[in-house]
Amino acid sequence: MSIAREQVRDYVQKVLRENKEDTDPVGDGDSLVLSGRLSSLDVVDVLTFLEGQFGFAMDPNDFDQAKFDSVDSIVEMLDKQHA
Amino acid sequence: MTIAVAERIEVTPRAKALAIIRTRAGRLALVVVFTGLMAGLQMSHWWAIGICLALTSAFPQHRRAILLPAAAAFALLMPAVDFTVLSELAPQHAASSLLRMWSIALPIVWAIAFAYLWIIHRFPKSIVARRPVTGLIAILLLLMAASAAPLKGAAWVIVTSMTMLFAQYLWFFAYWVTENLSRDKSKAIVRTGFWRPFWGFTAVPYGKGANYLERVEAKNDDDLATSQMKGFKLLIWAIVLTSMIVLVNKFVYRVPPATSLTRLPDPGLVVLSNPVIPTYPMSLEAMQAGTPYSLPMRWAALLLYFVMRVAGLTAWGAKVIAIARMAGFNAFRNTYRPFEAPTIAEFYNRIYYYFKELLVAFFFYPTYLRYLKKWPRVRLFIATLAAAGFGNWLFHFLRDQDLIYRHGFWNALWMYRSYAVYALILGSAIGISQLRTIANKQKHPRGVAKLRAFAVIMFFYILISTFEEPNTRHGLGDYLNYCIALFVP
Repeated sequence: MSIAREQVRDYVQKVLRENKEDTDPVGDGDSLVLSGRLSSLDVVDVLTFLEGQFGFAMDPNDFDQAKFDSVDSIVEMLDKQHA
Repeated sequence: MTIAVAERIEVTPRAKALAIIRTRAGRLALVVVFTGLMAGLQMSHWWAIGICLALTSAFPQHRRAILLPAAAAFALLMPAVDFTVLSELAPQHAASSLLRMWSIALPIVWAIAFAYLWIIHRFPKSIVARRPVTGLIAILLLLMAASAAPLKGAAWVIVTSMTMLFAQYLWFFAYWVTENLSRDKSKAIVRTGFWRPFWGFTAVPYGKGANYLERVEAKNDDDLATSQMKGFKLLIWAIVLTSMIVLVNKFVYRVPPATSLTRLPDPGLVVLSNPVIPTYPMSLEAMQAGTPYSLPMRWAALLLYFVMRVAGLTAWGAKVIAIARMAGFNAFRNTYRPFEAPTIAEFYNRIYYYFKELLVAFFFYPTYLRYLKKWPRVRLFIATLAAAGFGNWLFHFLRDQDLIYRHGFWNALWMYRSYAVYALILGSAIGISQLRTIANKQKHPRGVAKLRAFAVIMFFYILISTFEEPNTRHGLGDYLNYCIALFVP
């Protein structure tokens, strides 16, 4: 899953840079949603990327923006789905 | 060098203040000052909020346990029941002397929420488990139907109070139920402390649900000191905004003596005799009466009213979040620099964050995750429309029960047509704004482009604010006429 991690990190950085002009580095454990760096629309952006890139499908009843709070938590979701 | 920097940090006023409120005595002193400021702001039940804050500051390790009885106490102190409507309608139902029985409805409504969660856990494949929020709305609609039945006496008081209470608790229950679907069920009881918590007794859950609040909760004395410091600063900001509202009320609207100066004058209750600039409802009524104000005054009335509403909303949200932060929940502000928003969608995100989050959680994501996956742009637009359009309208229609009781369900629905138009235009505009952002055609404008974007955003929001209020005295045609009259001398 290291490739997925890199892709997720790169994409999150792209979203932050393009949507927020936020060029600060993103650590894998850094808070993104709860810290306010990613908004709801940015989460949609990331979610759509995960759907397209990894065939990720989220159960609507299980949705929680906090699951997108860090690169680590996003990768954990992907791992769970592919397990 | 390191020592020099460390010394400088130690002596900054902020560091000194943080060091003081890191102690129990310091926290309690801060709560006393905070409570005094709340009293000065004439906030409802400031003394009770002060007691709750003193308890959460003195015993932060028992914060969650304190929240539960505090929420229960506030449910009785500030009932989510419209007593004006109840007393008005009671004689028709032979219930004038029985209004105190409303309190019986409170534990029944709470019990319904628990029973609902139990059903979801017991039957995880059932329709209510798959659509928990739709099920809650269905319960409210059933209660509304029951309260419209020809009931008399205590039965009418209890059923009607249950309906009113359920409407006010609806979105708290929605967060609570969806957050306890699969997680540790033992937390469900203690999380009821977040049902209309003592900092935010409105239909909008300020601080969303437990999932968010537990994550931003202070974990130690340092976190708590930071949270309380930020809460205190936010209350100061609320005071600044409230002062502005007071000045406009006193010197521009010239509200009569004995009228609250801290909020916008209610057009149904307050008659302004000689304002420098009329309120928007006054200007609207003058036009209806065939004696319209001049064109500049029509614009000024709408513009000032819009600014006052933004200031009022910002001040209210600042007070609520200030209390939450003082209690140890370092939540986001409700309104954050809306006039710096580069797009229509971003303005909506910044102006009323917790209402927007409610719409996103219960309307946007469910639509986005379920439908139209093959058409990404349509998918985004429809999900936005479902949230900012339909969800926005539904929230207000279900919340404003007084119209339903006074005029009946179908008449109330008809009265909401102007709000439906408002919500439809708003949802569409936000949807288009989001599509433009994603398509990279509208990003971070600078210089003249930034000014132009600001003008477009303000023009849009000021213009649609003419439709915003559902009102029994004005119709869609009146709002449309006002809009047209803004461009006709």
